[in-house]
Amino acid sequence: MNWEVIQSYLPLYEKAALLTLKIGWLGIAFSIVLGFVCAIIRHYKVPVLHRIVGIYIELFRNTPLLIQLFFLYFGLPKIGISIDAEVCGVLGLTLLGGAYMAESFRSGLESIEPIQTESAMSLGMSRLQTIWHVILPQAISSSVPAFVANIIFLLKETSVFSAISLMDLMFTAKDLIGLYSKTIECLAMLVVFYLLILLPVSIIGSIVEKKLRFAGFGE
Amino acid sequence: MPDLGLDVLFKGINMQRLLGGLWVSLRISLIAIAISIFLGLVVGWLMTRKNIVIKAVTRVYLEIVRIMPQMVLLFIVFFGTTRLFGWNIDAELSSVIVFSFWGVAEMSDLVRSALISIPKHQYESAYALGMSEGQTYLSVIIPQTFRRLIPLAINLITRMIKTTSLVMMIGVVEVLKVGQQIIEANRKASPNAAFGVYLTVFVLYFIVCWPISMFSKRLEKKWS
Amino acid sequence: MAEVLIRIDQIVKRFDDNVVLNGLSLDIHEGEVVVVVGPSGCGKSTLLRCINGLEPVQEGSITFRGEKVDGKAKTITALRQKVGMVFQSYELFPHKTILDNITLAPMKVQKRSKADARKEAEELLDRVGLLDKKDSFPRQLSGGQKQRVAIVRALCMHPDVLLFDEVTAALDPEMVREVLDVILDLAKQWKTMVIVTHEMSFARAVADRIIFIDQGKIVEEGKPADFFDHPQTERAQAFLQTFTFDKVEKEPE
Repeated sequence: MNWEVIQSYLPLYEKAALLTLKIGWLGIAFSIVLGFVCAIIRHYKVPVLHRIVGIYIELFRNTPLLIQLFFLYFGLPKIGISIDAEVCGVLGLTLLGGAYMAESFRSGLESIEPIQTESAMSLGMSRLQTIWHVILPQAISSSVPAFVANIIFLLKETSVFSAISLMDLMFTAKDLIGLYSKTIECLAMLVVFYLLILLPVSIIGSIVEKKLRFAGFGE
Repeated sequence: MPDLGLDVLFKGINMQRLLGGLWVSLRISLIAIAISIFLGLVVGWLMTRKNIVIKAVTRVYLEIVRIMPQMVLLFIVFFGTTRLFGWNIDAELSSVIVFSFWGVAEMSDLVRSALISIPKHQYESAYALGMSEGQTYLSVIIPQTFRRLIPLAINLITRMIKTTSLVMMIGVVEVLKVGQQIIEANRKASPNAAFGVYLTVFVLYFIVCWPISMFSKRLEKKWS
Repeated sequence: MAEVLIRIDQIVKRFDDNVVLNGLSLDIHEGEVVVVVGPSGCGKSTLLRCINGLEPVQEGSITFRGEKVDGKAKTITALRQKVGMVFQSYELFPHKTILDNITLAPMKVQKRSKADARKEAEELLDRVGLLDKKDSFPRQLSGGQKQRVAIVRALCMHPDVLLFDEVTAALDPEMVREVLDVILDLAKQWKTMVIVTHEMSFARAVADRIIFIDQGKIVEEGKPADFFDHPQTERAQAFLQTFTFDKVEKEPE
């Protein structure tokens, strides 16, 4: 292990990590919003839309992100839709993540017994008040473990972005290995940087899970 | 109607080549799945034992797999081992190693949680009926464990298949790579091939994974 | 006699082909405690759910102070505020504290001030002996405590009538009493109540009138003493028989 090599590579890795973080977290933020909307459409069976959303979810849960990105980045320009690589990364991650988040959130919604809705309505609450004050808070807190798992999954998935020539961590590592063949240093730095990105999420995630499960429900 | 570049698929043996590429991915996932299921059952059962060393080792193993992107693991095995040990592991074997490493972790975690999800009084009521430990496992615990396990294990198969798309990044010539080659070769004759070919690859993956997901969902509903 | 609060007129309720309520009529008067009894699946719980507009009826009508009960109408939330309901499974909101469970609807639906809602909630909790639990979460309470909170939650909306749907059926025997005592206390205050229960001695104590339903129809009704001591119909006699046991006579060895 050569420390000088590592030091000289450090700025490149930092830059790459920032790109991974930027695209990753933007994609995650959008996928939470998209997943939330899709889950509500599915759960409350909004006419027409819930079928379209169903097809979207199945399509993106049953295909790999890499193929989705290839299609978005190399395929779509051929029919006149050109998307910048970074936007493409965020879009791809959002579409993939939206489908996963939607399913997680929907099973959170489904875990709440219908009689909870009835009990809120029997107190004179309107449908919207019931959803807002009674259903959503419970559904969100019961979906948190799945959300955390999805976030970790999506951050890991960002490792395919180099395929659409985004200079992320994988791209940088592969590039440097090819140029100078300092393989061990490059790989070690790759591992460390991914640990730096993912370990905090994993730790914070498990703390939040515990908090919500115990404090929120008073166990 | 814009040129969707689908014509290229019907030229010569292009479609056959794509399917051949798909088979390469599927072959890698099938081998890795077989290894994962077999070793996963063993490791998962080991994890329910109350041995501190086993617990610590499996915990670290699971955490590594949970956090590290499979791409990083692929790079380590494919580029790293050559450098460190002078082994020359080819791309396909590297893929099988990495996906098995990942799959065993996932599978063993499923086995472990299925085993501990069986309530204690299920064991107790079997013992109360005078059954031996072996009989209890064979006719009470294992059937219940399997009902929880099988849908999740099937789901793991689709995840494995989807993840094998990564092997293209270390140079395995699978469906996506074949697609690229076809697009390159027909650059002049059909400039829009990228749309048609990548759409086809997308659909091919869907055709393979979707029925398996549906099957797993149905089993889960039926058995829950 | 007091004014009619709820008029149920020839209602028919079907789930697909299964007729649950079959032309049932009943008037409930202000200040009256009506206890509904009958075998499982006779439609008594469904009747309560229809009164609250949670289930639509296919024929006939239910009116509350002359206003039609219609689950789809805009006015249903106003009506439900006047009709409180307590469920067998408590259905407290698990993510809210006891106090927040009680004050949610008064604040959001009736737009009462937080201070006002809390003050009343605390008074009512004190009455049922649970003031010290106000900051707990539902999971920290026993079944009997949860059910008392559920009653307080309904009361805090100042309903004109309370519907109780087998509120002690899910409780351990030693907790049944604490819940029934709360209901008996409400009866003393002239609250109008419709109670579905399997607790026969409680029914006898609390009811002004007993309604016996079987196969979706009222088979017999009357004052508790008459109904329990001298049931007129064969079906009521058979039903009451299921609560008594004859001394075992051993078979000859």
